[in-house]
Amino acid sequence: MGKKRFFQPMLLDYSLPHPGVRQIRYFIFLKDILLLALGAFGGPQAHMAMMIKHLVKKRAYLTEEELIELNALCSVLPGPSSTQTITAIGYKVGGPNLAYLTLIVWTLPAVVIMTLTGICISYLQEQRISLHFTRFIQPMAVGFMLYAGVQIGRKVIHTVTAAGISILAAVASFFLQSPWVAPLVLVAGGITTAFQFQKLER
Amino acid sequence: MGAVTHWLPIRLFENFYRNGSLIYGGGQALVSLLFTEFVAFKKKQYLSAEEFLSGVAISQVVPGPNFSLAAFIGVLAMRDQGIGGEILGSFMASAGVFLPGTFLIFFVYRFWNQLKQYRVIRASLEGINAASTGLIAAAAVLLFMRLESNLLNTGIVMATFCLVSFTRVPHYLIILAGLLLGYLI
Repeated sequence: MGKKRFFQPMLLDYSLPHPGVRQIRYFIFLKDILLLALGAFGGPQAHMAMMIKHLVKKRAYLTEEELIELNALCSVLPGPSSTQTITAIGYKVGGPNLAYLTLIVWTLPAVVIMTLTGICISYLQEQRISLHFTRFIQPMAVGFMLYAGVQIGRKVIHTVTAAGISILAAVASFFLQSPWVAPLVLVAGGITTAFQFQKLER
Repeated sequence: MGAVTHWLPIRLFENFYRNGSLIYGGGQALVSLLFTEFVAFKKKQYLSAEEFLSGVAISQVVPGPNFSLAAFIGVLAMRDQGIGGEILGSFMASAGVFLPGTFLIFFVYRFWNQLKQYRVIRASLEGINAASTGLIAAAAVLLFMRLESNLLNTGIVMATFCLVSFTRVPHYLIILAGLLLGYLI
C-alpha cells in the first residue's frame, strides 16, 4: 500500500505534462551535466564513477544497471563513449532536443579550454617563444597513455584469445602505420570473438 | 566545387567526422588515430609531434570528454588564418568528432533492448576491447619514439606511469608540476 502511494505522483507527472515542471526538471538535469563536465577528470572510467554517483545515486535519472548496460553499448559503438552515454541519458530524460542540449553542455567546457590552449600555443610559436617548457609534459603524456593501456588491458583481457588479439593489434598498428589499420584491426578482433558466443549465458 | 571541398575547414570537418565514426576505446584510441592521421604522415602535417604531445598532455588534465583534443588540433591546423580561422577550425574539428557518435547512439538507443539479446554482439565486445588495448600500447610506443631518446625522457615516462598507477596524486597536479618544472629549469 505504502509502495503504491509512493509511485502514484510520479505516474501523474508523466501522464499530465506540466510544461513548467518539465522545463525546471530539464534545467536541473542540464545543470547536473554541467557540473559533471567541469568535474569529470581522468577519462571514461572515472567519468563512469562520477555518473553513478551524481546521475544514479543522487538524482535517479536511471538505475545503475541501466547505466552500466548503456556504457557497454556505447563502448561497442564507435565514437566518444562517455559523450554517447551522457547524451543517451539526456535522450531518455527529455527526448532528442534535450539530448542535443546535453551534448553541447557536456562538451563545451573541454572544447573551450582546448581551443584556448591551441590559441596560446600558436601565439607562442608566432612570437618565437620556445615550447621548451613543455618538454617534461610530453614524456608525461606517454606515461599516461601507458597507464591507460594497462588499466584497460587489465579490465578486458581475461582469455588467451583476447591477449593474442591485443598483441597482434599492437604489432599490426606499429608496423603498418596507416590510418586504416585501427578500424580494420578492431573489426577483425570483434569478429574473432563473436564466433565464441556460445561461451556466454543467454 | 573543387575549391569548396579543398577548403581547409571542410577538410578538417571531413577528417574528424571520419575519425569520430571509427574510434573504439575512448580518448586514448583517438590519440593513436589522430597521431597517424595528422602528424606521422608528412603529406598533410598540420602540427609538429612536439605540439601534438603537449596537447595530449594538457587534454589529460582537462575535465570532460577526451575528444576535446580535436579542438586543439583544429586550432593549430588553421593557425595561418588568424584568430577567427583558428576558432572556426576548432568548431569544425569538434563538431566533426562529436557528431557521428551522437547520431549513432540516437539511432541505436531505440533498438537497444532487442539488440542486447544477441550473444554474438556481446561476444564481439571482448575482441574489440582487446584490439583497442593493443592499439593504445602501439600508440604509446610510437609516441615515445618521437621523443628524443635519452635517460631523462625514459625516466619521466616511467616516473609518471608509477605515480598514476601506485599513488592517488591527482593527474592535473602531475601535469601542472611538469609544466612548472619545464618553465623554471
